[in-house]
Amino acid sequence: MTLHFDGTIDRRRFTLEACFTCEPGETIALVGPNGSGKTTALQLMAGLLRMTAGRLSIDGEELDAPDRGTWVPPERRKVGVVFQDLLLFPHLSIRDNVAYGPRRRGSSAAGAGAVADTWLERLGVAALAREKPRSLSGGQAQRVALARALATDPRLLLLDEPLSALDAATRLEIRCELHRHLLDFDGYAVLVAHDVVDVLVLADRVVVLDDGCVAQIASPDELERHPRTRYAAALVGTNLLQGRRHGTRIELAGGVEIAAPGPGADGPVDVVVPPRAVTIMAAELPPEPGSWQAPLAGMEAAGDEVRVRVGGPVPLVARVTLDGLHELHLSPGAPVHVRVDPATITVFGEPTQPVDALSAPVRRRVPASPGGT
Amino acid sequence: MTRAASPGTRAPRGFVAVGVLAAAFLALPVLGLILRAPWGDAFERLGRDGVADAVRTSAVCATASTFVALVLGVPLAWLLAQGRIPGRSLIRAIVLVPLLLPPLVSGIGLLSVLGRRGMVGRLLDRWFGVTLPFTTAGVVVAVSFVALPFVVITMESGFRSLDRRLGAAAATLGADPGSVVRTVTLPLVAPSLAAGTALAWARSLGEFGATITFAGNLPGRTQTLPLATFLALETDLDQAVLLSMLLLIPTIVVLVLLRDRWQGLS
Amino acid sequence: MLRRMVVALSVVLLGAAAGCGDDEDGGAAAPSTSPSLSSSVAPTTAVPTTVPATTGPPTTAALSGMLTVMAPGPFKALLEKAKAAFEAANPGVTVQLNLGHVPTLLTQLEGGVPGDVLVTPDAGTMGQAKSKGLVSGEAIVIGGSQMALVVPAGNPAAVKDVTALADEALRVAVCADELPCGKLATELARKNGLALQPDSLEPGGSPGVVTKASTGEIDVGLVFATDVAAGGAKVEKVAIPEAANVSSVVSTATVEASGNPSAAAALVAFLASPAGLELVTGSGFVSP
Repeated sequence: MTLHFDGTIDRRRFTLEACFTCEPGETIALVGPNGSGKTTALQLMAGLLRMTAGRLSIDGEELDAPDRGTWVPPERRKVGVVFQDLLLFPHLSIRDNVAYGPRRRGSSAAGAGAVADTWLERLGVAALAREKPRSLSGGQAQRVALARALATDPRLLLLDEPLSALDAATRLEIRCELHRHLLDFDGYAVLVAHDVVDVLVLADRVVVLDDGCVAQIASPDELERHPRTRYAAALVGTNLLQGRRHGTRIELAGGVEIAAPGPGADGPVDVVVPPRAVTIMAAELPPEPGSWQAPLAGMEAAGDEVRVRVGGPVPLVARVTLDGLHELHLSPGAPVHVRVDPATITVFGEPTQPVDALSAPVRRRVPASPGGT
Repeated sequence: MTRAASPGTRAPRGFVAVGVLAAAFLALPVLGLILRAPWGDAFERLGRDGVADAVRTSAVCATASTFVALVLGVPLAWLLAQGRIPGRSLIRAIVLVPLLLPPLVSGIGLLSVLGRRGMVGRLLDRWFGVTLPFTTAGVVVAVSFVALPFVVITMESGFRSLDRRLGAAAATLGADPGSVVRTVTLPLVAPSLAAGTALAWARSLGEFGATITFAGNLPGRTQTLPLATFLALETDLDQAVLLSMLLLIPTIVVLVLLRDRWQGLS
Repeated sequence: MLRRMVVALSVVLLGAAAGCGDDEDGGAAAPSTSPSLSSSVAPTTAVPTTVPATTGPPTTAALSGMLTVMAPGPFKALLEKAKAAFEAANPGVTVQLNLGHVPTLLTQLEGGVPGDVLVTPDAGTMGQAKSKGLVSGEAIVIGGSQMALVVPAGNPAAVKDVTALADEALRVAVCADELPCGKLATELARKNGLALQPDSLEPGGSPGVVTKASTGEIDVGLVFATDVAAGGAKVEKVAIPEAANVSSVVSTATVEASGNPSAAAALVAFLASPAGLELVTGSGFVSP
C-alpha cells in the first residue's frame, strides 16, 4: 500500500515533473522556492488539476492516469485538504462546515453532525460550533479547517502551508497539535512548508522541488546534513557550495581555494558550510592563511547574533555576534576577509550538478529512494 | 454629522449638493404623479371594468416571466462568469440587447421569430397548433425577453464575486458539481439572486412596448396594467395616473424591502 | 430612509422609462411604413410638394408669421399638401406641422405648448377640445373618415366583407375601444349586427392594426380607409360598401390661445374652401 506520484503536468508557463512515494502513516513535506510546483503537486493529488502524463495511485487504485484515460474527480477521492487560505464556507456555521464533508459523502444530517461534534471536540473548538468563520481568530480557524478535512476520514491529507498565516505563539501551539494529529493519522499526509522548524517537526521525509523538478528526497536530518539545492540549504540554515577536489584542496568558484577536511577522491564535490564555520575579519587586518577577500552583501539581526551575507564568487552566510560586529566596522559593499574552518565543513563526493555550470539551476531527476549521498 | 468621519469617507466638495439635486430630479416627477392621482374617488375608479383584469394579468405575467427569466438566466450567468466559454463577449453583448433596444423593436424581433409567419412560430403553428401572439403565454414570452438581461447581469456579477476556490474546497470534501452549486454557490449568491429577481419583476410589471407588439391587447387575456394605463390616457388622464400608481407602489415597496442588497447590479 | 427611498424611486423610473417611455416614440421606430399613433413627434419641416392646380387659397393682406397645425399622424399627406398650397399663396407665413397622438396634443395645448390650428379625426375629440376651452369659434367639418378592412397582401383568409370580423376562426384586430377608430368599430358592428370577436384591441390605433396586417399576424383588421395606404405592398384593402360603412367626422378649428389668430383663421378657412376640400377628398377622405 503506497501513494505513488509519478507524473507531469504542462500548464501555460510552467511544467511540473515529479516522482515520489509515501507510505501509510508517513508525512512528506514538499519544499522549494515560490513557483517550484509545490501547490501544483498538491492540486494534482487533490484532483483539482489533471496530469498531462504519468500516474497517480493510492493503495493500488489509479486516480490519474492520462495514458489510460483514467481520472477520478476530487469528490470521489478520499482526500482531505487544508488550504493555505483555509476556504471555510462563510455562509455555514463551524459545525456545518465540519459536517459538510460527511454530509456530501452520504451521511444523514444527524450522523454528520455527530461526526462534526467529535472532531470539534478533538481540535478543542467545540465551543465555537455555532459561530460563523468570520468571527474566528487565525488559530481557531486553522483548527476548524483541519477538523473539516479530517472529518471525512480521508486516506490522503494535504496541507498547504498550514501555519503560515499564524502569529508566532499560535504557530507554536498549532504545530504541536498538528504533530500529534499527524502521528495519529494512519493515512498519507503531504504538507507544503516554508519554515525549517515545520519541516523538522512534522515531516518524516522531505521532497525538495526546484523549478518544476524534484531536486532531492531525504529525511529532515539528511537534508540538514547535505542539502542539494541552494534553496534547501537556505531553508535549513546552512551554506551549499560546489567545487572540485584536488588532493587536499578544494577549488571553489572564482579561484578561491579551501583546505579539505579529510581524504577523498578527486573530482566534483558539494561542500556544506555551516554559518558557524565562516569567519569574517576586517579588511585592514593582515589576511590569515586560507582566507579571501569578498564584499559585504548585507546584514540582518537575528536575536543576539547577526547574519552577515558575503558576496563575490563564493556567497556565504555567516553568523557574527553583536560585539564582533562592532570591531569589524562593517558597511554594505565594504571588503572583508572571509575564512572557512575546514574542521566544521562537510564534503560530499557526489555533486548535484556538472562542474562547469556552477550557478545553473538543478535539473536532475533523483530516483525515488530516500537519502542522499 | 457630528461624529467623526471614518477614513476615506469624507465627501468631496459639492458632492452632497449635486447628490441632493440628482435625487430631487428623480423624485419630484414621481412625487408630482402621486400628488396628481385622483385619490378622492380612487375606490370607485379601481372598481371599474377592466381594472381587476389588468391587475390580475399583470401580476400573473410578471411573476411567470420572472420565473422564466430566472430559470434561463441563472445557468447562463453561471457560464458567463466561469470565463471559459468561447464567444463570451459576444454573448454578453447580446444579453444587453433587450436593455438597449426600444421594447417595441424587441417585440418586432420576437414576431419575426415566434409570430405566425416567424421562423419558429410557423413551425409551432404547423406541428403543434400553438401560436403565441395574442395569448397570455405570448405576454409572458415578450416580458421574459426584456426581463432576462436583469437576471443575467446581476447574477453574473454575483457569481464573479464568489471565491471560486470555495467550489474547489467543496469538491475535495465530496461535493459533485451539482452539489457545489446547490450548497455553496447559490447560497452565497442569494443577495444577487434576490436583487435580480426583484429587478426582473419590477421590469416585467412595467413592460409595454414588446407586449403590445407581440401579444396584442385584449382585456382579460393580454391586457396588462401598462396597456390599460396607456389606453386610459385616451379618455381619462386621471384614470391613467391612478392606474400607474398600481404599478408604482408595489415596485417601490419591493425595492425598498430589498434595501442594500439589490446592489448586486454593480 | 429617505436616501433609500430616493434610490428605489430612481430604479423604478428607470424601469418605467425603459418599459413605457418608448411608446411615445415607438411609432417612429416601427419598421412598417405607417406612422403609428405616436405622440409628440417633432414638428416636420417643410417638404415642398406640387401645388394642386386649383383656385388658390384666399389671400388676405400680408399674413405673416408662424402657424402650428396640430393633427393626427395619419393626416400627414393631406396637411403637407395644404401647407404647400397655403404657403405658396401666403409667402409671409410658415406652417409647422405638429402631428401625433391627439389626446396628447390636447394635453400639450392645455400645458401651454403653442398651437394655432387643430384638426381632429372625430367628433368626440373635437368635443373634448371644446369642453376644455382649447378652441375658439366654430369647428368646421372638412371631411369624413370611412372605415375599410385591411388584410395581408394576397388576402390569405379570403376576406370578402365585414362578416369576417365576427369569424372566430380568423385572427381579427380592431382599434382599442378608447380610441376614435375603436368607437367607430363598435358602431359599425352594431350597424351590421355583428358580434365582434377580436383577438386584439390595438392600442396603436388604426396604424397599429395595419402594422399587424402587414406582418401577417392577423387575417383581417378594421381601420380607417385612409390608413391602409401606409401599409404599402404588404397589405390590401377590402372596401366596405356605403350601406354597411360608418364614418367619423373630421373637423378643424382655431386654437384659443393661438399667437397668430388671423393667419390661423385664414388656414381654417382655406381648408374649408373648395380648394381645401378637394385636397381632403384627394387624400382619401370622403366629403362631409
